Amino acid sequence: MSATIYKCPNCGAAMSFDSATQKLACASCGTNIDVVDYDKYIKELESEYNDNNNEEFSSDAGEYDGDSSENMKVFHCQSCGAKLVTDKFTSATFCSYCGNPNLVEERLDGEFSPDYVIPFKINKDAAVTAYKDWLKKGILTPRSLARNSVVEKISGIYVPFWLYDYSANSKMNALANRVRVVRRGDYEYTYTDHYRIYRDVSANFDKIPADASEKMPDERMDKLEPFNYQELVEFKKGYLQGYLSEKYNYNAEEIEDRTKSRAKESITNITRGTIKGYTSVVVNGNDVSVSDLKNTYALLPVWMLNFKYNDKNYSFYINGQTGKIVADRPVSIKRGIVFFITVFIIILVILMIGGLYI
Amino acid sequence: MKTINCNFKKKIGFVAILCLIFSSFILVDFIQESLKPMVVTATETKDYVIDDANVLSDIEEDQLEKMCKTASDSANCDIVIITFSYGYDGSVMDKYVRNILETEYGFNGSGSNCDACAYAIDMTSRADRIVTSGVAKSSISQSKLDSIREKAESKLANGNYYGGCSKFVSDIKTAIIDGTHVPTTKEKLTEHFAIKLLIALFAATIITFIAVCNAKAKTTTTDMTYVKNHKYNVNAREDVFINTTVTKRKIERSSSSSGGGSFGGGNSGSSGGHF
Repeated sequence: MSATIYKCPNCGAAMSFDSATQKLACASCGTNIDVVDYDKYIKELESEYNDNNNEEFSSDAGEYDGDSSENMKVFHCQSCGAKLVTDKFTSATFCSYCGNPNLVEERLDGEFSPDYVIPFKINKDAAVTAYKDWLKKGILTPRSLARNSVVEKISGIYVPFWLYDYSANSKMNALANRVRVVRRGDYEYTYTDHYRIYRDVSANFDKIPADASEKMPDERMDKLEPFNYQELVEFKKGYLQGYLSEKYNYNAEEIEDRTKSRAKESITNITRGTIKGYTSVVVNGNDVSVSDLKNTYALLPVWMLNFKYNDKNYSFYINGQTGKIVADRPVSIKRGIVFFITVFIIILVILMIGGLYI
Repeated sequence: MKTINCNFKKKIGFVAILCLIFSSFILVDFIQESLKPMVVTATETKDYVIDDANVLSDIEEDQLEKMCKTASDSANCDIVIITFSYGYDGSVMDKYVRNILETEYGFNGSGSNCDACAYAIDMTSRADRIVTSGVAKSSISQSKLDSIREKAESKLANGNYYGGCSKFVSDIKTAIIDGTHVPTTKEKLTEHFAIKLLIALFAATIITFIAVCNAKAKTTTTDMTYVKNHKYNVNAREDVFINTTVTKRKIERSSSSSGGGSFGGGNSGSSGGHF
């Protein structure tokens, strides 16, 4: 098993994926190369080497050490030779010594090879700025969380998702009524028209996501949605350069129920939405069927920052494509007290001044 | 460090501004109090109690005299007790008492609309009447005046003439003072202070609670987010009419009994009854 570094064809330094240009970029010589073009370049080198040497091309990759436990694996960094220790799900990481990005290729091959990826659109600086702006908006949020020692821990990670396609149908029965009131003289007449309603609605759902990582909380990943699937591209390993990533913990069947129930709820609500123009509607029967069409494995970008405040852990997530923030906001008791007193004084002054004019 | 110092200075400045606002209100009130004119007391020569009907003893008359003088000084209005046995009642009694008030009384001078009020008791007709003029007329409502008379009257009915008269004096004095009092800025600011304090506390608690809780991210997907091409098919639609039900209700009309309008701050000039 090997860890791989994408090296610059110009100067040989390690390359990272640049979210601004959406290309692999070399920090040393400034070379930018498209991920697809880089793949072609490697394949050309490979076939050229094999033709010349009649040997199979072996990438200049570090070797698997063999020294590992069930949950941890050890590799060698291709750049400096240092040992990289990863858990069994990590597929992209950084060398702790030289800082170069490394890919664990075997965790991106075969059944673990993603079908698609949405490359990062938001770079680290933008993520840090978004975090700091979010901190400022919280009146009671402690400002000490803007320290560089906290901020520099922000990490870009490709989270494994399963995307499900469904065909759904709902057959709904309901009773509805329409009420109108007429006044004649001293009497009020209430006319209630009763109706029996039936609807048969079907829809196809495209790429309902469910995160397949055990480490990522499902509720937070759901709130990061939606991702813009227009920017979903065929997976190339080059997109992972410079970011962390993981392979899935759960296969498609294991977490399917979550997305199926979402599809059921959506088709029910859509069907109910077609019953309009009535004063009240009571649904007395709903037969919903959802059938699988397809599922695909994709890596979606997320910026993540974990921090501690008052011995409590907090997490901050940004959708690495759209910039949507999902986070817990810690509360500073000191700021809370000052805020309370300030608001109290302001309201009291307003009430007292109001008494002058009443 | 620089940022922290800057923020701290801003907070100190803000608190200082609030303290300045508070102290300016107190200062304004202090200036108003110091500019108030001095109170002028009534002259010693007036008889505030004329007991022609001899219903009061000498001691009671003296005490009532002192009470009326003190009350007159406090209210800036002559408060007088008159008893007689002429068999007067109604408008005749009113005219008689008013004539006395306008010729012999008035805190700031006699004449029509002088600042004076009288409680008249006729032992022959068993009629009692409050006659008001000037500030006593303008600052007390009719209902209040009637109430003062009724309270005094109940004591007269028990033969407690001194009690009835002293009750009248204390009640009318309070009514005139309350009716003529112009609240100072400080009084306006601190009026119902306990209630204002509670409201401010409650509002600050609610707002702080909202600020603490207002950190949750919201779900921004809808039912249509993942629907392919944002289109769905309605394969069948049936809206079948079953029947119509009708209910009938009589509209209740409220009988409008408009009560007597309140007089606002003044009264008609008198309030009479019998004991």
